[in-house]
Amino acid sequence: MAPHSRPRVRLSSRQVWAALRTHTLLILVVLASICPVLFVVVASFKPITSFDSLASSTAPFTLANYLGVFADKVSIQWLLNSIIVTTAVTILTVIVDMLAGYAFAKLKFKGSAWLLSAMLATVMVPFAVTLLPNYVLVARLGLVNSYAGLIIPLLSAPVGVYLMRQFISEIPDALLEAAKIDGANPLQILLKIIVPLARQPAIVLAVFTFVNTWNSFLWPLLIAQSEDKRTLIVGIATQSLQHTQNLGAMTAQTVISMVPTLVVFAIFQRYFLMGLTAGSVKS
Amino acid sequence: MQAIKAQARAEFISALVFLTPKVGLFAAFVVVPFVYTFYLMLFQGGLIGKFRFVGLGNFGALLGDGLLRSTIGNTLLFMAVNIPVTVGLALGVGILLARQVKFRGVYRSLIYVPSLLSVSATGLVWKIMLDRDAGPIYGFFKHTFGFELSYLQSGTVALIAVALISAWASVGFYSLIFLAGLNGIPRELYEAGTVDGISPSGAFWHITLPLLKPVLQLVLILTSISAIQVFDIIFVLTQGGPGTSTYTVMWYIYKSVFGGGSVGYAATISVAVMVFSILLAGAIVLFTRSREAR
Repeated sequence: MAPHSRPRVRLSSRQVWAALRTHTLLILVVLASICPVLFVVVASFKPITSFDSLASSTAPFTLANYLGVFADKVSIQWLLNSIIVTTAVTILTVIVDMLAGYAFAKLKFKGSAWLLSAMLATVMVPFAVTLLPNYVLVARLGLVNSYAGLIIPLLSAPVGVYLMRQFISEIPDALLEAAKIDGANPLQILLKIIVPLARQPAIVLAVFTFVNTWNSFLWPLLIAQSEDKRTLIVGIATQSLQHTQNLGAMTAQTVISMVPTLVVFAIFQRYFLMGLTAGSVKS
Repeated sequence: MQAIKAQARAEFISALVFLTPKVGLFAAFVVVPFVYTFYLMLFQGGLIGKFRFVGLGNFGALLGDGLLRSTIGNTLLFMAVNIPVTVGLALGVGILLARQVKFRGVYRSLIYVPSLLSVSATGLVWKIMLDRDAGPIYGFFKHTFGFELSYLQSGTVALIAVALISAWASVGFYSLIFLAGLNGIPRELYEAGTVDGISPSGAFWHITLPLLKPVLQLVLILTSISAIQVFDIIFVLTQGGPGTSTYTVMWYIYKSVFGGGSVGYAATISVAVMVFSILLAGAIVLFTRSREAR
């Protein structure tokens, strides 16, 4: 990991070629990954209305598409819905999973191990199985087309509990015992010791939850039945079927919808890597 | 003694309090729906209106459903294209990223970008890429190979295109999982291999792959489960069309239930999907294990 620990040696020509080949292949993968996206970003700054006009467009760049989106009440409502749902789900997931993770990691009660493995076993159940009955139940509860219906069912995923439990388990018991002797109750221990020490896994959980919720599709598609309850992602995908296609507005909406996840990734990159590493090691 | 007892009780009560939100949500939105699915299987009736008890009638209907059969065929084809391409490319990219070259952090971040996109963004990006008038990829294939296919409007081609686009969208994510696994392999093993005169491909087959097996298993299971229930990308790219040529099982369930079809019948299909994915996951585990034993 330390780049300067090795003495600088002259690379043999074979090593130079190998490095060159690696760079070339990686650059090709990078181009394949981002060029299609960049093409759409560029298109969003062109005065286009349809696919034909995109093909023949040599017009100078313009902000018209973005101004159009920000002047459109419906688009703004979708953006707002996405922000509300994603913020709520992210904050609540971290709180709920941290509480449960602490209980599983450090509090002794009967059936703890059994309950945790039962919860984790359901990770293997395809969402197809619970989706329909979930919808029927949420509909019976009258939560279709409401923020509650969009938010609450997303808080039931068990993965975050496992993540939190693993990290909290690593906090030394001696620390908690010392606090107990000082007369701290479990709630005080949670707030004074666990929360500050479990900051990293909490951020890992928050960034993954943020990206997954922002991009979530099928559940909000089912639950948001009127236009004003749709999230931005669902709105983009469903409008093209109903309205006359306006490619310029769509590209601008799409680029706007990509910004939050890209920004979160740019800022919290190392937490994404931590999460993926934790995931792959624990397999 | 008294104090210890009181503390144990306090601990039990706080465990109860801390667990209640998660366990309650889990029970309400995972356990209850899971059990409810099996109950629904015995009934017939749409989302609106009353259910009628039909016993095992839904299973009978399952066997005689021609559209379901072609839908399953489509789903299997999707899986046959999507899983090997995703896993193969992700492994390759993971191996490249594990090499100690300059700028690998930059490469790693940029390769992850498609995994950060929503399905709506991926859909629009590829609709534009493959468009007859404006699509650079369409244009490239037309001018280089003379292909003039409407990739998303022609039967099996559309299904394969969707499977590849779905792979494009997830390679970055899985390659970072492979990268994490590769970083866990001690470098000394490769150094020892070099001393013993092992070739690079030998190192791959005898060091990398065996040690990466648990991660490979994980990635295979994750890609399989998501491919079995592919839905989002179908919604944004083809809507099951043209005709029913890109109907996948989840799309079929969605179309039938929200088109006024029977919820019980759809529940029966979804349970079949679950049984199949459990069998598949089991097969993946067995397959990787038996190779280990050899």
